[in-house]
Amino acid sequence: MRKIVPVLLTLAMTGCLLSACGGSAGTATTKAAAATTKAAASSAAATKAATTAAATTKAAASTAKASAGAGATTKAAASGQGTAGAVYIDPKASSMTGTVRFFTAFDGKSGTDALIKDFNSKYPNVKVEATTYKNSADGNIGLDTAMVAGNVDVIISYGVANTAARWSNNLLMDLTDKLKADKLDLKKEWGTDAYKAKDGKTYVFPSGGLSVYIAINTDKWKEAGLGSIPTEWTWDEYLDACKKMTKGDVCGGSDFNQTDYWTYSVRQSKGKNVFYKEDGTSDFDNPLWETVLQREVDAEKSGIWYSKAKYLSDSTKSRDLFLQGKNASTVESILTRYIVAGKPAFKIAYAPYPVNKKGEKNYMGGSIPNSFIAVAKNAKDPDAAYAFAKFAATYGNKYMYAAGHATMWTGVKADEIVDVVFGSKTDATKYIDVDSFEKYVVALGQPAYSEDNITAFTEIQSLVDEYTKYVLNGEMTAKAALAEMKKNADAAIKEAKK
Amino acid sequence: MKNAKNKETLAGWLFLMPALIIFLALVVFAVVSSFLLTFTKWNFLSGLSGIKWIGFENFVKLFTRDRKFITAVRNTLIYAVTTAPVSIVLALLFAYVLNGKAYFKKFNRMCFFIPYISSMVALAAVFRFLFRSDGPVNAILMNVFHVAEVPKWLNSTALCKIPIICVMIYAGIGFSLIVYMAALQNVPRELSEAAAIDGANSVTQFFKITLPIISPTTFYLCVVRLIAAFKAFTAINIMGMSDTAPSLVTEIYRNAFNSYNFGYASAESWVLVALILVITLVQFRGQKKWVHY
Repeated sequence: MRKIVPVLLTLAMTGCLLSACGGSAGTATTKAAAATTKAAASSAAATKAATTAAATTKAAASTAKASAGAGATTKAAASGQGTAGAVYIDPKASSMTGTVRFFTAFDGKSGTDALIKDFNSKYPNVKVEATTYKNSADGNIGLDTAMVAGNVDVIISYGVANTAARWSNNLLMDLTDKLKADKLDLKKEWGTDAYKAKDGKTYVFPSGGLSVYIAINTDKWKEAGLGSIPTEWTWDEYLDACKKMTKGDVCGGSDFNQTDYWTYSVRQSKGKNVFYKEDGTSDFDNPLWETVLQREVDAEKSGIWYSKAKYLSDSTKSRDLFLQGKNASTVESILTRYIVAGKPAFKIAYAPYPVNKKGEKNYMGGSIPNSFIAVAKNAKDPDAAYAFAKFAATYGNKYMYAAGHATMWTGVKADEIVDVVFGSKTDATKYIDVDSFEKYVVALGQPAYSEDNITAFTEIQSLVDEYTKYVLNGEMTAKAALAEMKKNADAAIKEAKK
Repeated sequence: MKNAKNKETLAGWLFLMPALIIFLALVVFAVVSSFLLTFTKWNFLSGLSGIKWIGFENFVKLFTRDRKFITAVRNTLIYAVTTAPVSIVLALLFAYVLNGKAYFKKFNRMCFFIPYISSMVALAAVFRFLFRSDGPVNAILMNVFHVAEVPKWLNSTALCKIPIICVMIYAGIGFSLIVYMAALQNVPRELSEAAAIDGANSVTQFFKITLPIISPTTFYLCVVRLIAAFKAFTAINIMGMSDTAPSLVTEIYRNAFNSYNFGYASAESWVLVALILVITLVQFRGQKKWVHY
């Protein structure tokens, strides 16, 4: 008996160990992924999708192919629901069966439930199980682990770097042939074919975007006697308006609460690959960078703009201060999601993102590609997963607006968006000026910034965050900071190319 | 007889086997794998087939080209040098006071020990609130000390380490306090009484009798608290200072789980191991001079 007991114990322990390494890994990783989704997706984290990411250096550096035309992504004006001849809904939709495990950073109330309901009206026998994950560094680790473990079928992947890492590491299904069979042309449908892997294949629907605009408190605007809201303006003109709206504790304006948002002003002028020159080295010695950064510092110092350093240290959000009436205007991108719940005591109007020079093309006028819908390579029901991904990237893409994001699909109708977000145009007019919302938030048919070079993107993004904080704290001048950024970014690019 | 002995040995091994398997699988295997990974470039998403042998390239990059690593080493040493001694000294002081005649001894002991058993996440969140630009610390500075321009504790690269050091000291006092209280209770009273008869005051008694007798405890706490300080991560992560005031562990985490660069992160972790080992060995060497057994 004495000899049997240790043998039994050993066998039991070994069995437990082996089972923990094997079949329950999926459960463990699902739990790990689910555990990271409990927190609601924060707006800052969601918006940081384009910038905070797992790094893939050399692999991702040359994965995105340049688009045939200009660097800018241009969306065709919405003229109807899609291209004639393209297959958006499968002919056998009503009889298709399967289960789709869908991972997204948008919770049910932020459009996911409506998307699934709309999908099921066409595919009644396909079950969609949505899981919300937090679009942060930890949340993306959880998602990647879940994908490796085979617990994910369809994802919304945020940020080019995150997404490129997934397709470079063989986690995503090759959609090239399926898109061809369905006659879905990337440029016609989503305005860009830049987001492809090194092998030229397509692994994602480039369907999600972010539009960046100025949200204005119309009461403060009128109080300042500023007349009608301009349809285009320069930064000097906008800051002048901020000066006039600054009164007492109320700041006339504010940048979005994310450290690197000032770089969107450089993106507005450049149109493509903001961090890089044509020769692939970093672009931080371009005088435009210093102009933009110094402008933000000066605006905050003069008190007409809310201090970004305060946002970062106090973990407050630009949308909250704006909706509470503490800032008269703000640069925003995901405000829409919070308007109804925020119950502002004023009506919100919108204006376009300002330009650096009068008359120059505004590459922040349209939605910039920010999120991508993809099918996992090891999806349980590949056909059902693809059908859902395709629907979410086309007819279902309008629900992105409920989460404050934008769609890149050219088939969307502007008036649908207002209904998706506010219920109806009548309800919308209680909160917003609908015309300017459709022009500058929905922003169909406007030129938009894009990227096809992401060499050492994560490292460079990290440098931007680091040195921005030095400058905002007054520890470095903009010039000195950009000089160091140039040196360190070039070193990172050289390292990544090895 | 030999047969019986062999059977006994076999039985012994079999009893050890469960714990041994777990130890080998979860500790030894992990350590050896980590060591081997230091010589590779590996993005774990690519699977085992993606492991690429690169020799000492990771270490060369660490010491010659990684600016953030050097900053992290410097910060880690700062955290270690400040938090360990301060928390030990404070713990000794409180333990000495509580060991003598003091009111509400048990209550005070509990108050000092609660931070140690509390979640570091909660503590870090509280301290982050305390050091906000409009938080209580700045409110006291403005209203009590009439400071015109209050420090930006959480933003400034120069000052942001202070809240981290404060929370680490606050969390570390409890454990040291309890250990010291046990040690102080083992100091023979007769020695203090004899010293008092010979004219020694309480300060002299403390430095000449109490401190030498509890020196092994002090040595133990120095080693343990220094190692804990080198592993600083939670407070820095929760307070959002991983970019402004990174430590070695936050850098390891960033390289492993943000950049998925497991080989490089393994190299950093072994550098941390070597650093802790060297410092601990130095402490063991130095203890011969001041620790009295």
